[in-house]
Amino acid sequence: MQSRRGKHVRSEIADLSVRVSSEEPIRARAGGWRLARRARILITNLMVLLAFLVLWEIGADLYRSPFIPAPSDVWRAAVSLALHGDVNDRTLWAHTAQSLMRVLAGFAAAVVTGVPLGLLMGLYPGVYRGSRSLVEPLRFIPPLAWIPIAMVTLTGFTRYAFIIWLGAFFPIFVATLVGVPRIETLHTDVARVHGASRGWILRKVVIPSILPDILGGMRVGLGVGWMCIVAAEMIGGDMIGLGKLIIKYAELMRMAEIVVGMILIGLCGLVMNEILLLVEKRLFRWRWQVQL
Amino acid sequence: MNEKIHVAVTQRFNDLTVFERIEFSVRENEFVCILGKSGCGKTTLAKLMAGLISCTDGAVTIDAAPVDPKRHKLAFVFQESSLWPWRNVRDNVRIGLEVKNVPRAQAERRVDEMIGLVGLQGFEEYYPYQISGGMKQRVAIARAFAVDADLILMDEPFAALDAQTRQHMQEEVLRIWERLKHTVVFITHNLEESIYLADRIIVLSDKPATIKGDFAVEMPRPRDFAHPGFIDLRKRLGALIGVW
Repeated sequence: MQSRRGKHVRSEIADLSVRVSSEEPIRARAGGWRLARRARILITNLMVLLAFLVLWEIGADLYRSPFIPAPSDVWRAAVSLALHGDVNDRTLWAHTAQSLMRVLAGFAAAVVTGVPLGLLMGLYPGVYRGSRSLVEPLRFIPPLAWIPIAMVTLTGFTRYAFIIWLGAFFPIFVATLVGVPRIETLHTDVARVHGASRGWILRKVVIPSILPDILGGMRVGLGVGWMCIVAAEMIGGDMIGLGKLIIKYAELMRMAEIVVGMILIGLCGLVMNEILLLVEKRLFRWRWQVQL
Repeated sequence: MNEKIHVAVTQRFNDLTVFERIEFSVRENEFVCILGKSGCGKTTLAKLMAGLISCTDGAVTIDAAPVDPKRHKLAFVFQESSLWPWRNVRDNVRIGLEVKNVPRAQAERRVDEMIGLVGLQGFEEYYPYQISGGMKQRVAIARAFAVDADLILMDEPFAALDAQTRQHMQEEVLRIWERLKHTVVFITHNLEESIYLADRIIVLSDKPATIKGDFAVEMPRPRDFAHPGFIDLRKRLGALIGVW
């Protein structure tokens, strides 16, 4: 079985190189290897996942507690939540869509504020040094600690967005801030010799130079944003959202539904992260030179 | 005489005097080499002439006006690769033209011409990480010559290249310069390189740097390393700075 799969992948490589070889033989072969490597990675991942599920099922069977759901229980709960909705008749999709929107809003706000502020403080270190005593401690206050203040000052959608913004802001801000001093002076000198203005250098040198850092910060910020979703939905009034789903079923002590919510948060984060990674690879081919 | 560039500068960093009253001028379309040991302040001098840093005292003037990258057309070929890694060859060559707001179509034509001149046709879409060190310096040279500069500064542009590539690049630079005729100030620590290339060689002493000599090189190009005049000049230059 194993060997036949290997052969299949290999024949695919052969196909590919034959098709493009007349133009770019080397690149085609590299593409083929990359395909084979990707297939191998995918298979390994599926196997790890499968092994995890098996172990989980065995563990849950041995434990035999209503509070430790087996994968099969979680699957049944997921199907039921998807088809019939929860105790408030909200389907899984409605929960997911709501949470997605909240995270996206908070995340977008974090990008829109974090990048310019990071740029400002990176380009004018005096601004950063002068406001360090304010900025740095803020970084360590967990979004959870802001909940009471958010509850008394904000309402509706802004509450959710605020908590998520708090989580996503600093990774993006800091990534931008530390990216600026790493810009090669040689690259800015090239522009300066030709008489480029500060604005031109900002647009054509600074931004492209630190875009990879910004995107890296965005991926971290996105992760933290998703981590804040339960906290954010804890305080929001609406009975909808993946975080809210978890909280509702926690009160009912129904673990299978809670795990469904957890898995969906993980999946949403994964998909968004993969999208950002794809953008990164497309935009920064020149940065991937160190990777093989 | 048609003096194009005049340099009369003193440069200090805190209590370190890099050079004390260096004065020379460069004529239009002249190829001048500035020769000095490493660490004698050659790069500082080049950056001063490019307006990248300002001098403690004195001035660099081009056509009698203080050097100003916004007003003058300047170009610089750096020692290390200075290509922007996020741009391909074509877009790197275009940088100077973009800054100077040359209309797109005209800039494209000029870029094509320059890429042809440095022999990089077919590599327009390649990114810096995909090409060799010598090719990167070709791109940098194309970029410098593209803007029709008042002054092109080259700061040891071939120092990081192997001997064969270096020799080849020297020939290339001369070929392009003879074709386009620009004023070039070429910084080097390499005696043979300076004799091979220059109309004139200005020799700098160790720190604090002063001008130790100013030699006109009158041999016809292409110059032969075995030519008696070449060997004789090499001896004189070597004696002047202390042979290394």
